[in-house]
Amino acid sequence: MSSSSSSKMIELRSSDGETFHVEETVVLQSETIKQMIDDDCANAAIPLPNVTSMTLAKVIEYIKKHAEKPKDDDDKKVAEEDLKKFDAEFVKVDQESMLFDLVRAANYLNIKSLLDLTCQAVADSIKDLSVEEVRKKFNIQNDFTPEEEAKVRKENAWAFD
Amino acid sequence: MESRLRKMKVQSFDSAIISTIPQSIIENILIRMPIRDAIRTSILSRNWRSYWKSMPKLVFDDKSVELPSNCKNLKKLKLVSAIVHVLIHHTGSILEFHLDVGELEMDSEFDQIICYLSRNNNLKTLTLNNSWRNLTMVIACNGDVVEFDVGLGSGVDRGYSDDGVGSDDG
Repeated sequence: MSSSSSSKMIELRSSDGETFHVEETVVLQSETIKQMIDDDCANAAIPLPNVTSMTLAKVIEYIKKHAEKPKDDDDKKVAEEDLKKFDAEFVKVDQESMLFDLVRAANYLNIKSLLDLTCQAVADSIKDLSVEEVRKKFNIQNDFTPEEEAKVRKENAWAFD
Repeated sequence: MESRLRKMKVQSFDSAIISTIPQSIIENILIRMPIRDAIRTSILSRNWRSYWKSMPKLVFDDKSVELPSNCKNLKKLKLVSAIVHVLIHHTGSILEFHLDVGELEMDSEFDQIICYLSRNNNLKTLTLNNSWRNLTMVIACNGDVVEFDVGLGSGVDRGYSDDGVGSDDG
């Protein structure tokens, strides 16, 4: 990606101490960081104690791609298609935990489009599974007694028949 | 054996992650799946039992209940009772409510649902789509609704006509 303007660089530091340099115009997609910059708290490296370097690298890949500006209208259509493809590939992660890390990072950094994208990916991965499959996938312990479980099923019967 | 151990380790890591997801994010995930699937998460565990009850956005359509499409009356009854069930048990703020009943003939049921919703001060968007009835008369209940769309005509993909709202009322 080329950038003609000499945008100010912002330094971000992940929870495991790695630093990343990102153009200010790119990083402004994060409302949380935008607030820090507006409040003049971004002169030194911005610590992100809730985001690991692995997750932060992914987040930066996402905001960089989403910061690309199409030159004209024709380019705009191509860019939109390209972005859609990018988004679809972006959420294809090997580990479910990575998807949740991204959800949490998007929430913490307040990047709405990334939060929407990752929450949708989680929803899509759950919706066609059986209850047992969802429990297994997310290692959710079934702590209901058989009686309680029967009661919940009865309570919400229309969703289970 | 080793791989089994590794698998167990990965699983418990996953477990730790999902248990630290804030409720607002879980709600954000639930509103992105069909409402039937969202409510089915109530059976996952005690924690999950009530998450759906605070979903800020509710979307119903004639596919929300499972019945063959030729059982129209039964389908209508089932859909209405599903909506009533959700509204009665819902404990959070409903910001958005979308209902598309397609070809199902709803009349007083429709009015009752809307009047119930109109008491909700937080409702921001209410979308109704019904292929055969103009819903103008019940709009008066909705003093607090900011945005109101009424779908007219049978074209599902033709979007909503807001011309119908005022013109038939006057």
